[in-house]
Amino acid sequence: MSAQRLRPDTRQRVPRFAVVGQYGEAPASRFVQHVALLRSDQELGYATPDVRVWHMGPPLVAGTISEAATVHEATCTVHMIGVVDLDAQDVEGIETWLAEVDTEDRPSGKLAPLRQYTIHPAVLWVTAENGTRLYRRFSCVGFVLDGYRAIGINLIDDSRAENLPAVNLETVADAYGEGVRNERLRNAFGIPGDGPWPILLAGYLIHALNRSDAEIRTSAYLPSSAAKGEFPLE
Amino acid sequence: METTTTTTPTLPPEADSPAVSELWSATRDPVSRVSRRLDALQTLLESDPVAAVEFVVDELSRDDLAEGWRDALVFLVEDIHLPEPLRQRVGDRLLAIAASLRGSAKLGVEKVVWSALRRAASLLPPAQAERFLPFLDCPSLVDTRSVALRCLERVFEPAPPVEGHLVTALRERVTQFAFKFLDPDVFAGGENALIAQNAVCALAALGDPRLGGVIDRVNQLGRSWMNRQVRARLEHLLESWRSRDASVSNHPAFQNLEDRLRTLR
Repeated sequence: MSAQRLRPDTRQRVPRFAVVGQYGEAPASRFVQHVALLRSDQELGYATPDVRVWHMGPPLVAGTISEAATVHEATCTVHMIGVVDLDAQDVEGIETWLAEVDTEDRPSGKLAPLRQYTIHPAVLWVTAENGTRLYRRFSCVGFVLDGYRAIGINLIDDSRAENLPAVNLETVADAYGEGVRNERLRNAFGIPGDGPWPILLAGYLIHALNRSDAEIRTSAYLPSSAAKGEFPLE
Repeated sequence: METTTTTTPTLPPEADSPAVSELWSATRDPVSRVSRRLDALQTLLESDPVAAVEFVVDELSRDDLAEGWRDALVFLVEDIHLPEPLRQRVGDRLLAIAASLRGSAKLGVEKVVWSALRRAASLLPPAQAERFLPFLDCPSLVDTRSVALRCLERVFEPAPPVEGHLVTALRERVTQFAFKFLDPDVFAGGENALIAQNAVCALAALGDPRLGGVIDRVNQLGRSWMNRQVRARLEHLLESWRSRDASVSNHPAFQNLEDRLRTLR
């Protein structure tokens, strides 16, 4: 099925753990602002609201424990999907990954969810003095990426900073809100200084899934420019 | 439950930095909101780190803390590094908090228990690994089995166990978990599979020779994702040992793990 912008006049069946994406708020924006894992099989059309997902909103909602801790049900408005054919084993693998991440959920509260959030790297293990791993911080992209990596699907190769296009502050503000103009917060989220930064944009994931299943399973996507933060491209 | 479609992180506005003395006043004020105290304390951890860390440890040691403030401190110590002389004290305290809360039915308390266990495992010396044994009991109101097994793996992440330091009961219990949760008749994705995975990795970290039989069970499941996830974790453990001590390759636990890993399909 690969990736597609959904149609407003047609609903289609989308399987559990498909990647769902949401556009930014600007009218006619093609900038993908958020990605998440679809919680259950569902009929979706363009801009279907209140679709239940597992995601790093923030807050992190990866299972019953983290969901119970948040006052907001984890939902998003879905404008696009990215689907790779997952078999029963893949589904089990993602369920197990979610169960683990759910145990790493951090406190809720007004600003607390941000303390488990990171922009760069998209997945960050917080470590103790002796280097042992304690819990993970995610961006919304990192959450989805890590979930698929748990079943051996590496959607994007971000193993080297050179693999990722540099993203300037304007684009980061489109993705994460005007608050990131605050340097103290950028420091906290792993993007110090004035940029540009080699960060993962949500749109890259949709482009990564806009390939054949065989390609998705055998080779990680390499975004060629920050313009791939939009889907579809003009 | 309230529903929202807003998923963009809402970042707090920049505030003028208050003086250090004001921050200490806010941090020490027991009737102030937890979020206000915590914000002030986190700023102090940057501007006055030695005193702020000592304050966190002293506060955490108190028995008369309000629940919300205690929970905030438990989470906070996952985010800060402690000087060596304070680690045993904090590890002891976190285990005591985890033990006291695991029978609680309060919403969200499991997060506090799990956080306390994780951090305690990173602070206590490997010779005290058996202190996690009570958390491997059958589920209390807060199910600590999966996290406690993960903790055992992490206790030994810096170095394999010194022979003779481990009580047999710990190895026996972990082995029971591994065989029970890898049984094809009960194996299922999600929490059960996570317990199985964590038990396999804990057994490897403990250097137990029964790891071979457990890995045979993993292979018999025929779940490629399970093999992949277990392999990634066991390779991480091997690399962690190897990177810290070049001579570790002669250690029985290292050899056991290296040999068994070859049999994982």
